Amino acid sequence: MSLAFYLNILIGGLLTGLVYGLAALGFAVIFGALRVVNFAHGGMMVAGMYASALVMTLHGTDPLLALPVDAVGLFVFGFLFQSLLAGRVRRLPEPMPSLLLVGVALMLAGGLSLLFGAAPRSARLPIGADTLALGPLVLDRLQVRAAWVAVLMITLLFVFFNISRTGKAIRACADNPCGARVIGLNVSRLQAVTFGLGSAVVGVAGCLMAQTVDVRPELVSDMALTGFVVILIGGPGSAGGALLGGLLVGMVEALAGALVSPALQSLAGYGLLLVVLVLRSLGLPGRFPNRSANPARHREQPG
Amino acid sequence: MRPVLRTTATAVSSGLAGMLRLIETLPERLAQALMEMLADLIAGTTWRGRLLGLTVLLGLATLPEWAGGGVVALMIPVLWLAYAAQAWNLVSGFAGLLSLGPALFVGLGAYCGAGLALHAGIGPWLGLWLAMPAAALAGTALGALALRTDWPEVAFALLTLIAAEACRLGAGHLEILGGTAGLVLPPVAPGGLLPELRGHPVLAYYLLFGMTLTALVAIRLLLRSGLGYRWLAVRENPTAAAAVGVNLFRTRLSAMAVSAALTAPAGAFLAFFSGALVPDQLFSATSSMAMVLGAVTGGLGTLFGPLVGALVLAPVDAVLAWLSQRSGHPLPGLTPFCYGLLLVLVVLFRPGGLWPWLAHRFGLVPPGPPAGNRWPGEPGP
Repeated sequence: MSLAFYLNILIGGLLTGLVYGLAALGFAVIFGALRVVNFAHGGMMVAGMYASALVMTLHGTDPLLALPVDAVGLFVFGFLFQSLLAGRVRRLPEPMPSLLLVGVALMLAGGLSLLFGAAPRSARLPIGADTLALGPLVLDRLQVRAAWVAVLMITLLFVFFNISRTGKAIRACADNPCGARVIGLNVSRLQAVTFGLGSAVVGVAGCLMAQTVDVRPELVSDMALTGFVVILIGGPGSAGGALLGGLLVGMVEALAGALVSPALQSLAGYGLLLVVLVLRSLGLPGRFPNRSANPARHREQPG
Repeated sequence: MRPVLRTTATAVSSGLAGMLRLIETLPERLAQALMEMLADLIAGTTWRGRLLGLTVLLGLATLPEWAGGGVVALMIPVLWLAYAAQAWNLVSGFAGLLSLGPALFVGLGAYCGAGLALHAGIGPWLGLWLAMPAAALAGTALGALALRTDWPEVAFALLTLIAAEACRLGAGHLEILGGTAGLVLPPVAPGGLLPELRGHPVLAYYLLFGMTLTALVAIRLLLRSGLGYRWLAVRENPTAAAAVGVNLFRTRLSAMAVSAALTAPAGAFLAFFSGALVPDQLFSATSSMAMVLGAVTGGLGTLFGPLVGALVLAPVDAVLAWLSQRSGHPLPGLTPFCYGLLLVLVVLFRPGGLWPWLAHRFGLVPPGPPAGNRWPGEPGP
């Protein structure tokens, strides 16, 4: 067990963590702008995975080509969900909008399982064993490729929200929906775009995840729970937190999987969450409790 | 209740004479407290509602007499779901804190009861009193972790979901709990054995009937206590509740603890009734969702909603079982898909649930909106 061994594991975890982080970023986009918890996170991600598996088997091409398909498909799904369903329950008090998404999450999980059956599907290229050697470090070429795409997507997302007009308009809606409406923004349209965008990011993360993992229906709950662990560690509305949480969870899972047992991977993630929450409730790192947060402010909805 | 306690305190301080007088009037005072309790229970209903309630109560109490064994066997899961959904309803419906992993406490109660019975020889009746505080403790710990964060409601929903799954995995890895294969309780002699909690369906039926009724009465009385009013206040408007001096953290935590403690007996019952514990079933998200769906369909934050919801969900489950039997091969996605569809439809078209709508429609409650207890968007009377 040399240093290189641990480094290899850590870097493998880091590369997976980037994909987790990208998925959590999709969650953060939706939560940050709409104050809605996307319970369908796992379902959307696995839908993206199935799409790339389908592209791979139907056309025999590189599964990364499914990326635009995933992005557009899930954007449309999210856009339609927000404008057709979520808009209708906007005025209902809190458990109801969340329960709507829980219902959609269940439908996605059940629907994917009914549609594709229990057998795992692969979207991996036959170059799986192909590795990249960097001195003592051995990297999985597919993982490196997925990580590159994840970094690219993250950069694009930051550019979008900080430079483009639509991105700025979405941020304005998130800050103050009423004010955004006053200055003439179409708030409900922008909210639909936001939900679509967040869904698309989650779908892309699913496409990248499919490069290294076989797709099974049970992954819906695995991906959702890993995503929620990442989000709770990083804080639900924070982009930086989502990325940091993703990297942390990726590394801890990789370490636990290699050193203890692959079956305990997700338990290690839950353990990390427990440690973080205990530390936070003791008030060590991070901002301390809900006294500073004003719940009324986040309840503000247009109209 | 309160006046009795208060009079007791003054009587003790004023000496023996007062004590004697109290003992003389004790039956009268007890009767008065009982009448007050009864009046509390039926407050806010019309005579028609009370009559229907009494009929349903008597009908359910005598069900094994006039209905066949098949009906009793059908009613057991219905009552079980009504009880479990009622317990979930306490934290999510009355205290307004969405919990997505109530199966966690079902599993905890089941494993506590069965584990104590198998390894320590403690019977179910005693084990129950250990399982309930254990579940309450787990609920409190979970709530304390989630509610201290910046986003208490969000963290609570996500953390309950994660905790149920973590316990499923954990129970699958613990040898003392039988691993993924689960625990099997040794078979008992046929016939109704009350001390063992196992055996005849009629016994199970009456047990569940008693549990459901007790939960209903207890929650109704709790809702009319100071604690219950604090729960409702926190649900309706956390900011305003905090402004008038309600401790949000402690109030929500107490709701979680009571709900968890109430859920645990459902798990213990399930363990002894079925005799086999499988972590994948006990802690499953589907069973959590059945509880959520039962309460939401019937009416989130209403007392009779979970009962109505459980009655609605039973035929749905029967149809789903028939469909997957018809298809010849297992369809694990069918139940989640249909539950999800039902949840979406209920939220979109009847967010207040079936019970408040039915109660208004058939004049079981007086016309006009009940005080501050109606969901916006729900059709008025």
